[in-house]
Amino acid sequence: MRDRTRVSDATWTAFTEALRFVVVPIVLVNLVTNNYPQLTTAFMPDIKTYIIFFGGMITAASTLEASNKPGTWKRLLFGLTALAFVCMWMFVIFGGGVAHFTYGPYFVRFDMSKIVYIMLFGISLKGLLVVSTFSGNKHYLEEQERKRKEERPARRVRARPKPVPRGKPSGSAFSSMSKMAFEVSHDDTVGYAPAPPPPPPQSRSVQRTLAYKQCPICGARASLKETTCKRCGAWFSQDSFS
Amino acid sequence: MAARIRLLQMAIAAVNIAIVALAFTSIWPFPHGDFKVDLPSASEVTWSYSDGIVHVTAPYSIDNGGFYDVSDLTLHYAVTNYSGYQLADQTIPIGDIPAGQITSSSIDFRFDLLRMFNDGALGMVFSDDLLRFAVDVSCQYTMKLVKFETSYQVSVPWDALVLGYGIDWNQSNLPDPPAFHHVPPYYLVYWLSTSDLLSGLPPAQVSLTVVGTTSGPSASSSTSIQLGGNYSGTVTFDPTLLVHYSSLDSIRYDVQVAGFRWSGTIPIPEWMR
Repeated sequence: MRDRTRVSDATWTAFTEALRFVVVPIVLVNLVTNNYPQLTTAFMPDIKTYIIFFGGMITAASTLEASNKPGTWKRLLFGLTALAFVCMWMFVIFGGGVAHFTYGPYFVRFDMSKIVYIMLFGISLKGLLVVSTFSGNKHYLEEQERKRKEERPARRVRARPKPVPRGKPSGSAFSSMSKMAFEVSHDDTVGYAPAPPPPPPQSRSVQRTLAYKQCPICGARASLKETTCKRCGAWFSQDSFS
Repeated sequence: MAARIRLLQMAIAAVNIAIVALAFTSIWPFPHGDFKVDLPSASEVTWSYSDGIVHVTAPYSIDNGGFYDVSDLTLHYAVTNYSGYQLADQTIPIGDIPAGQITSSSIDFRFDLLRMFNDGALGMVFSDDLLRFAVDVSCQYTMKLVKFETSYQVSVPWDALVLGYGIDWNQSNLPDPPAFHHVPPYYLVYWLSTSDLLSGLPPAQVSLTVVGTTSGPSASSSTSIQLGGNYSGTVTFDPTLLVHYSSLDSIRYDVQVAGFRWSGTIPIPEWMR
């Protein structure tokens, strides 16, 4: 979901920046040069090439900026790069602030380079925003990363494979009719013992393949053929006989 | 953090809006015509002449209809004739024009045509010329952040002061020695065409001397002719002096117009001798 947002952000940025810095300026420059051919600036002869170049660079840098998460170094780098290209683009569009106009016997020179420098200063202020966004989100990203690292071991534990469900018992043994362990005590007390804590599934599956059985009273191991425990004399359940 | 970024965004937006407003208010008056510089056209240039000095005036006006004061307004002009001779070169510091005010004045200069004439520059006296006015206006705007310069060149035709002169032989009468079929009085009609600029000035003085073979003194006489148009004058000679001539050759003239003085010789046509 997050990746898709980045992609759509980048696409939208590419579209809008191409419009703002390439398409619309070229249309405007065409209008101006067609209607006022007497107007000249330092970059006027190749103004469209400059617009396409710097506008393209702005679009590319802004797209790459938008495609990276806030707080990443890449986003900071591309953000500042885009800003630098916007400054160059602006300088070129305004011809460095010096324009000449020839109309009949009149020759007019208009030098507003100081205002252009002030405008460039205003644009470069956006750099503060880029840096501020970077520094703010960088802490957030670092915190997220730290949390992720902390949560990783717990996730590993949770990610262990689920126990294999126990297979259906074969035969018509009485013990198979109940999920509770059926025990026969050594003093002939017949009944259901309280359910022991469920053994880990692995051990249960291993138990099926073991070549011995365990006395439910004293826990001593005994051969599968044994009917009573040799240590305490308790009877083994009938289904434990092989 | 979000609040800090939002605050920063607002501050940057405020600064940028202020900058855009500054740029807009600085540029807008120029294409919109609120700031206008009206420099003189060729038809607005006026001339006058007195005592060998040509006085030229050309009005101009600067309308500061913009948002800011115009400062350091300077007007510089240079006037040269067609051959590149510089007639005037001056810088007029006008100063500041507050927003919404108009400054009107005129380019006003004089040049000593008589001195030029005496220095050998006869062109502007006897020939039409083209005076090239180069006017430069420079000023600063928007608290001296914008510099505006305009140059203007206009060529103003200059009419010669003396358009033509000579003797009207058809209306003149001179003796035809040695037969002397022509009877007195003996006179020459001299015509002089001058520029309107010379209207009202004292009339021209024309002295004519008959050049030829004579046993007595040369016959000379003079007349005055009005200036500022096509006028003529009659120079009458003493017949007692002309009877000493055995042949007539030419007429030597000496003309003085508004301080300009020149002389020369005109041959007498064969049919008149």
